[in-house]
Amino acid sequence: MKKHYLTFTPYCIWIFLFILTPTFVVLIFAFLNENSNFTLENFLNIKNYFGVILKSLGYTTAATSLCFFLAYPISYFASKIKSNMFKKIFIIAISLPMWTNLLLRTYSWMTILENNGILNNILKSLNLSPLKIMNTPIAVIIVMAYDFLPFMIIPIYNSICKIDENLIQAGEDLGANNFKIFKLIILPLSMPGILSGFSIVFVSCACCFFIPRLLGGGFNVLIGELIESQFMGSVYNPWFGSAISIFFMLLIILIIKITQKFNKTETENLTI
Amino acid sequence: MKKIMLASSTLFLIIAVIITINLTQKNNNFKNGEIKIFCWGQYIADGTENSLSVLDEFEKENKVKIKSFNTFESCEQMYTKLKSKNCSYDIVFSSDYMVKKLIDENLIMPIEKSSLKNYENISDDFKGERWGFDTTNSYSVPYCWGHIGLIYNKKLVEKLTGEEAEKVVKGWDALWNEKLKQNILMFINAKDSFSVALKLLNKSLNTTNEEDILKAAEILKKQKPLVQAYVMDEMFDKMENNEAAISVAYSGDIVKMLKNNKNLKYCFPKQGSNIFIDAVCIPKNSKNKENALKFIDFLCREDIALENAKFLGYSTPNKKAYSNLSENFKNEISYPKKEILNKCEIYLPTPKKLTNLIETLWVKIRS
Repeated sequence: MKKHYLTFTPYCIWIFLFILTPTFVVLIFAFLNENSNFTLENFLNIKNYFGVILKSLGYTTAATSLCFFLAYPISYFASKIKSNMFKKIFIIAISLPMWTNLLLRTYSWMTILENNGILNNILKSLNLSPLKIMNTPIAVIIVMAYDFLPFMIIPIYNSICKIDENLIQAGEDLGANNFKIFKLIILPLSMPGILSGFSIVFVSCACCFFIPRLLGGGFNVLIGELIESQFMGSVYNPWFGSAISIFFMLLIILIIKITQKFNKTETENLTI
Repeated sequence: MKKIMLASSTLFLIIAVIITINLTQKNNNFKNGEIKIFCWGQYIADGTENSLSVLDEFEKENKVKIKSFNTFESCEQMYTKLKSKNCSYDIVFSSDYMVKKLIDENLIMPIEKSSLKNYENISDDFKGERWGFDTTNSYSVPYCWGHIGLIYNKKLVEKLTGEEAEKVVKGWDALWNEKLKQNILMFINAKDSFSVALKLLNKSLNTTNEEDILKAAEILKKQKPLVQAYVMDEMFDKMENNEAAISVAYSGDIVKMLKNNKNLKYCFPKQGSNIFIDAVCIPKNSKNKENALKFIDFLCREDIALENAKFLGYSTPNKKAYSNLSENFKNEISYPKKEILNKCEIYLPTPKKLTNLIETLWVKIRS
């Protein structure tokens, strides 16, 4: 038992120093004004930016869903791979883009989607009419889904891999067709992976500020950019920035808790 | 396991000894005390891109240790830090309007110009008195300056409008030209975008009239469907790759972009524009005033000013450094004629209420 404590201490120190303390500082900041006096004004101010918050949630939901619909089939078919070597190759192929800087990947999407970019040049050479994707919400959603795709694929892939082959065989023996097996066995059993993928991607999309800024052409002020501008911009209002951060954090926790409730039967062991 | 422990502890010991030796050696060199500097990020030549490391040079020459060199992202951030009692700096960099605010709130102290040997290098054209941010010239020493102008792609503008580009792009109204729809870039920050709109309306940049601000917001809203994107540094890629036809930009950036695409041209808007002057000041609670003066004098020295001007790409107020600049840097964009300078206006401090109004309006316009 004593050994247990020892191995656990570094994590506790880490969590305390780098997660709890900063969050606590942000929480204190949210209730202060310029002159370090207690105020609730920061939280009352949030209502002016309700549109921004709704928009952020909308974009994030769209991007997370797109990410899911791309990731699930990939993970499903990848889990069917029998050869160990190909499995390894698959994992490497999925995580390879993560070795490149996130900002760099986003910038390369800019060169692809620009009006005179790679995509439109290909379309032009095929005599097709060019697409106008850059600086629209579609560009933001595509790139958000792309950037965080590995975080969706890997948990889903892992949970599908863990499904006992015997269960599927039992289903087949009892006369279920492929669709029924998927619906009644594979999907429910991969739910923990789906949920953890969902929450990671949802939070990452909601908070990133450079994707909407670089690909949305500045037309799409999302919560991340709003918070960033409070700290870095000429408004410089970290107190208000902290208040929105706290508010948005609570909102996301609430959303994740609700989705977990819906799937309670499958995810009794999974908590955040 | 024991061997690893032994090896790693020996390694640590060696590193520790090396560090102490280094520190003691350095400390011996710094007999003239220390200095704390608060500056924008990437604002002093730091040895990258073939530049001289100005800070290292200062330490070596004056035997003064730079105890801390902290950077900020915006003047407002600097102001908030400076106001909090528990911080003390000896040197602070600030924009024109913030210099005035710091003077008004008694946060910076007068600089004795008599102890600055190189102060005479600074041109009167950029001192606080001329522009009104430091009416007695006693609190600030100009460091660098620039203005906001227009950059356009001659070929694209002509293709889109069917007219000669020089006739189309004369002033800020070109950014509202229907024919250039979806080919216009605007600044993403509120202050500079509003300044463009205010100049177009022939109002002062420093209007305190709420109605003027609302009118500016209205025309910025009208402009939105014409704008391709609101940008900052992405502008470089977009203009150089013929992605957009026209954009507002800072003079230093315009010069950089013109080098990379020969279709790009510069225009000083006929309605006038904003000039920004950044200066060096000494905060009131400075503990090493002597060294702060030494540092300012060092920055005014022609060779150092030349290094910084080359590193920044913005204009230098230093007369001697200017005359030593290579032809590459000495152009009409970075150093416009007097008539053009006379059409420029600096920002002055705006009341908190107006700043907040502008920022809220701007978020609403963009989203």
